[in-house]
Amino acid sequence: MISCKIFIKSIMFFITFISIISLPLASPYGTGSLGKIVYSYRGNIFFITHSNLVYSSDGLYILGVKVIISINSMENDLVTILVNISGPLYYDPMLANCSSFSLNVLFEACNTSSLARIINESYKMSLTYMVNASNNYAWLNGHFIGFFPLYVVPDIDYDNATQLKYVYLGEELALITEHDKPVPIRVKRPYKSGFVELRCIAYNNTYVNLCLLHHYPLYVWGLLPIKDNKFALVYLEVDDSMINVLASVNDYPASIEYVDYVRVGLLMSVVALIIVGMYGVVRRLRRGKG
Amino acid sequence: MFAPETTIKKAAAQSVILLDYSIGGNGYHGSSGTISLTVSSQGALFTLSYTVNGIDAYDLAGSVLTGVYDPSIHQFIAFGKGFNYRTRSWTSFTHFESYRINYWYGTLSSVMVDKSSCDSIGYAKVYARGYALFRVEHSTWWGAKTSVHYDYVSLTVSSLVSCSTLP
Repeated sequence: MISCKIFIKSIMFFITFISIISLPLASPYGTGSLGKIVYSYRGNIFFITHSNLVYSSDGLYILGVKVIISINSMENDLVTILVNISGPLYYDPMLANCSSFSLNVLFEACNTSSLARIINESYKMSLTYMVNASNNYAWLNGHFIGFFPLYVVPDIDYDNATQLKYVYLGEELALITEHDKPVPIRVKRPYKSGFVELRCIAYNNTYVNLCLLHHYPLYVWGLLPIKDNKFALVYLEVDDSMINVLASVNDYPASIEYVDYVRVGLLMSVVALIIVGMYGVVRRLRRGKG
Repeated sequence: MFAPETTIKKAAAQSVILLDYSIGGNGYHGSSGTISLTVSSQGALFTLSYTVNGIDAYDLAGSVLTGVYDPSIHQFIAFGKGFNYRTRSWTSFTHFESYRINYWYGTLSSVMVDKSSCDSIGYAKVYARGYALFRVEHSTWWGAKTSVHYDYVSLTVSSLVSCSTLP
């Protein structure tokens, strides 16, 4: 009897222990438990201002930036997302006077120069965004920015994607679709001494291009508000350390498929004509023999 | 100091050096084969080669990173970049099956010089990042059935150059 009680207690203890260590894994945010790293990027960031449709560089940028996304807390469907940006901060006098009416032209026309100097070898910047966990809309310092582009809190399922409409920096994000289905984009990344083909769906507007696989953007190119009229112009691709996570949720279709019913009708008509024609020929041959 | 590509004036002795290249693509039909792609940068042409699984229908994008070196002062006076792409569509003899492949969008960032490692190893990293998107349409049954997707080709070119060769 005593040994039976000890056995039951051991089982209870084991179950409790497993439940406790499983708690972080049961987080609704995929790999991310609260306050932990949920996603990371590598790339480059340029700091620019944007006012009255004029983009201008203040000459500051980070090459080889690491961007780490972590979810800090959740209250009433609002999530606090920390974005930690780190890398060597440069100042380039040649870039500092560069401006343009178009974002693309700005960095086509303005090269960095080798006169650039590092003004902080281990620069760190931390931004806190409030994100609505149900629709992924975000606020920075009380200002509404729209869709949060660096991590998607609610899971975006491929089948639901066309029903979701988003804006970013005041402009609608257009999902690349054909025949009312999102067209998958195939992205090859190194994985286990070979490659993995990840599939994502792309959202674009004037300010950002990004491609999502569930919670995870594979690349983000565009503007990220950091303060009033200040923006980070980000060129980010998912960090290699995240490929395992992405490979485990890589369930978007490889392509969209559709049928052209007009052509199907034509094909069937041609086949029907051939059958009728052959039937006629066979009948004539038989009559001839009779 | 180096200027944007369009304003570079090279003296006869100055040479354009290929520092790095990046090329990627996807093949969809036919045997494996090597395809060449010509990319220009700073007035020089470079031919890159890439092997795809299907040489009848493919997409291909490449980029180069170059530097203009002035031997009289032992320095690079400019760095540049180049980008190009090729696609090939294919239709079977009976038109039963076809691949239609189109370039959709591409971008390559400015060339950047990262001197953060000059003090430690004496070399700077020069690089540019970009990507190309291609729309791939595969049809069978004379166009009655079609599948569509996009290919993303990531392009990153980078090189280490001695910090003593930078102005």
